[in-house]
Amino acid sequence: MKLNEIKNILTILVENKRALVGSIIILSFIVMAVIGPLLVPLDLNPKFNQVYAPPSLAHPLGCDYIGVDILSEIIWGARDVLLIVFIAGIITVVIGSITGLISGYFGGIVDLFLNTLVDIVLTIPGLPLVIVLAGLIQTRDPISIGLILSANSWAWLARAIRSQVFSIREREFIEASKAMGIGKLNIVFGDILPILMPYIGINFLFAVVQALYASVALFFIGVLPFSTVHWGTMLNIAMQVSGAIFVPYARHYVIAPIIFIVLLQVGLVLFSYGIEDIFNPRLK
Amino acid sequence: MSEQRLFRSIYNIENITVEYIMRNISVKAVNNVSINIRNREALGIVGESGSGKTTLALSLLNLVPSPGKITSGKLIFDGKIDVLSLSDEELRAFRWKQVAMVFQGALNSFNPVLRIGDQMLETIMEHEKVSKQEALERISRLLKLVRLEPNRTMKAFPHELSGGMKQRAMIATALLLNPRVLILDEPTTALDVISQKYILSILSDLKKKLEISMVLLTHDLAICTELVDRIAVMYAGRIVEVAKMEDLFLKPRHPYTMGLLRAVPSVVGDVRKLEPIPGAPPDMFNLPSGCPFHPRCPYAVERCKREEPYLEEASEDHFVACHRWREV
Amino acid sequence: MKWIYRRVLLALLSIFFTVVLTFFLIRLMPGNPMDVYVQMLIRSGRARTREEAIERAKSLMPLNMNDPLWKQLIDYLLGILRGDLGRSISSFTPVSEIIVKSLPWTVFVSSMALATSFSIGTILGLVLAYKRGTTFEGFSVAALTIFGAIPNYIMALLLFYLFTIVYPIFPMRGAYSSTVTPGFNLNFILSVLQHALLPIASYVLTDFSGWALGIRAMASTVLGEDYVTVAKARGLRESKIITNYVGRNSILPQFTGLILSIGFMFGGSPLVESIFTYPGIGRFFASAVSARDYPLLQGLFLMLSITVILANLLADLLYTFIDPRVKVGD
Ligand SMILES: Nc1ncnc2c1ncn2[C@@H]1O[C@H](COP(=O)(O)OP(=O)(O)O)[C@@H](O)[C@H]1O
Ligand code: SF4
Ligand SMILES: [Mg+2]
Repeated sequence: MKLNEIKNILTILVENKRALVGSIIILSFIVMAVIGPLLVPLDLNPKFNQVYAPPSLAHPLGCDYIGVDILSEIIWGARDVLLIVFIAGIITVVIGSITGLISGYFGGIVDLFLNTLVDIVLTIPGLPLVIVLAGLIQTRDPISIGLILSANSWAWLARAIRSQVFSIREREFIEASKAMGIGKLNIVFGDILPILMPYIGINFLFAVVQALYASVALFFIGVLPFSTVHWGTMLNIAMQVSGAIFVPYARHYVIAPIIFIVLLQVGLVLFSYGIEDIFNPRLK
Repeated sequence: MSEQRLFRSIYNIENITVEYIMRNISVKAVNNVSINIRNREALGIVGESGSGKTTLALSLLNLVPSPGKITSGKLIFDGKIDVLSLSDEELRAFRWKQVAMVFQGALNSFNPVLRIGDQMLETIMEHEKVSKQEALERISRLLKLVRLEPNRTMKAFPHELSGGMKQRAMIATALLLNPRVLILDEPTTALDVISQKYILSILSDLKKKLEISMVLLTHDLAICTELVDRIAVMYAGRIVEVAKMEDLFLKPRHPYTMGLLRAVPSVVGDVRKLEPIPGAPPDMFNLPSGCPFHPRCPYAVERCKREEPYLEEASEDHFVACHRWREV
Repeated sequence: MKWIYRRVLLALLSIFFTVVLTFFLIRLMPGNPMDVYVQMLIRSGRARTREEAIERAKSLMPLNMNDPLWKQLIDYLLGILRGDLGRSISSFTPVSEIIVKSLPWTVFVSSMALATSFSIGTILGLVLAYKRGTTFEGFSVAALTIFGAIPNYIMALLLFYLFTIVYPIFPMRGAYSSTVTPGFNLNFILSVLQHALLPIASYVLTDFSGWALGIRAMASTVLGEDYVTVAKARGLRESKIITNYVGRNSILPQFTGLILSIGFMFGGSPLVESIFTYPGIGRFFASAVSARDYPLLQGLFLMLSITVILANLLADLLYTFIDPRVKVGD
């Protein structure tokens, strides 16, 4: 990337406040997930003398039901949280784009088949499907979890991309490519896909938002055995396992994961709306 | 003289200026315009697109949309109603009852989710205390007047009518309250040639049958010939010439009007002699100094760049805003 | 008319697909569910010998696991047509009985929540469209965006924590208090409302902002439409313009969103209902997952999906009647 482009991006971000705030939040979380574990050790051994210790200098967010430092759990958890939603976002976007491109470009019987499949998948309620799959498959592998989380979110993207392709494929230069005898797959991935990249990028963000919603839910109800410090797992332990919700002096422990989940979700939503504004300025 | 009295003025527009005020720039879409709409006359207002016709028309209803604002001037209706100082409720009662308007591109003038009949009915009911029966009869009569089949049209949703039918339904709607002034903004643009002819013949018909003043806004001088008594020519938000129709066609005095006439096929007669006006339409954000027409005017002199000309009476009932009208 | 047939056909196809999906999901999962039951029955001491456990498991499953797969599928389909979905392995109750008991609660909470959030959102959205460009609008839009970003079950958690534990104002669990007699009496109705309030609020507080922002965006567009200016020129009352012109035209396009949100609420029900131990279909669903109660899971998932599919179908069909522009055949 040239210096110029970076400058352009920064100008756009500063002008669009939603994108700016969103990107700051997301960046902080990424930094926290990548660098945090290097700086803050995670010691999961019980220390019963500091159970539910209130926030202090040594433990900025206090301690949990067995005396583990909450901040270090949050920091290590961020890694799992972000990794899973990132993978899920990529998988959703890849499957959705390929299906949509093929369906939209080839049309005919291929489209009829794929489009009907998309319609059907879209009518199945998303979260229950994901819960059933997660409950049955019981995996710890982040890629499998990503696949589970994409179980029906790809269909949204496929439908959207398909209608985009319908409008693009009538444009002149595509006609020209066809006339030059360039193969269909080449046209789809060489000519059409690049045009749709910004659109796909925005939808990646939406997919990540969706995946965060679903993945935290899976850990919260305890159907996924992936990580002990995922924020969803922390919530699960705080609310259902440890009985911390009934302990008046453990409020910081219950609230901490909630705040971080909401903050990340808000950051992602602000950023995705902001980016959508920039690329698709419907309302000024 | 007797004709003058018959055509007593119904709506006086005095020095109206309308500005669209945006964040860092403002446009005077209508600039110090004065004109009187006379009783029972048909007044044509002609000007290129962007010259401020629609804005002027909307200001007659005090309905200039934001970011537009009437920044100065007076509107006196029927010698007594000061339109710009009416309260909201008085303004509501004034609109459509005294001045009705068929909007440019009437294709979108009807609410797409309500039936035409219901929209016409509510127009009457919001203004008058009449029985529904009476209102429906009036609607029927007016739809027939614009040559639409009443029952079918009333039941239809807007998308079920063709462009020309919608236009006519809108004209009927405009006549519902028997207004004193009917404004028609580009009533034939966006219609096919046959519908255009049809609308024009309906309008001439209305003019004969009703006691109403019509204001016809158009960019096309040709359609005026069939209908109007007087023509005002607009350029860059200003009225540059006003005269009786024949007078204007036979003895145009403003260089812009002359240019316009040379560009009308039916006036020139021979298509090969058509001459478009040289130069580009004015940039409203960045108007030339003095006479805004001077960059395109073959008669322009130094003075034209410095001093803006104002309307003067060149002959009886013939006004022109040009420094050199005596010479050209 | 052709459009309607196509739409109904698609719904039926979806239902069939879901049925087959649930069948294979559970059949082809690693660890034959049959073995899981047998193991569980032995471990929990409900069956003393392996043979007894197998007998027991067979009677719970709607199918005979030794038949070829295609025969099992057909038996399963026939069972569904008869309303036989097997028995729950944790409570031994017929799955159909659990559905009949729990579905109404979920429908009740979802429809109340949908109606409330849609009404609040619509009014707020219209107000915001009229206040376009003011500080109030800017501030509200920011606040709404943030509110809308909160997942509904996180809101449920917060409400649960705040109002049943920190400030114990509302009941913690159930659909009505055990001290009232179900039926058409005031005490029962009040108790039902008291129990449903927090679950409903969880959905409303996270959903109304989406409606408000959607209606606002739509209304801002509609306010610039010619027909609104014409309505003003026609001297219509402002109240009439807001309801019949701006309101109607901004709300109609939201119907597609309404359809989606039915599915979304049902989808969120396993979490929200679990948090409040609300005896709806979602709560049974969540506990069936953790208990690996396959027949129950299968039946409930099917039921959730079918309800959503039918709701979507209904909403789609209704839309064609409400909006005259959606021509049958489009
Ligand atoms: N809503 C608006 N906002 C800003 N400028 C406008 C708006 N409407 C019209 N204008 C400006 O006012 C001028 C006159 O426009 P208009 O009255 O529509 O002219 P006409 O009807 O003759 O085509 C144009 O130059 C246009 O740029
Ligand atoms: S004032 Fe000058 S520039 Fe303007 S029309 Fe007359 S001659 Fe031409
Ligand atoms: Mg115009």
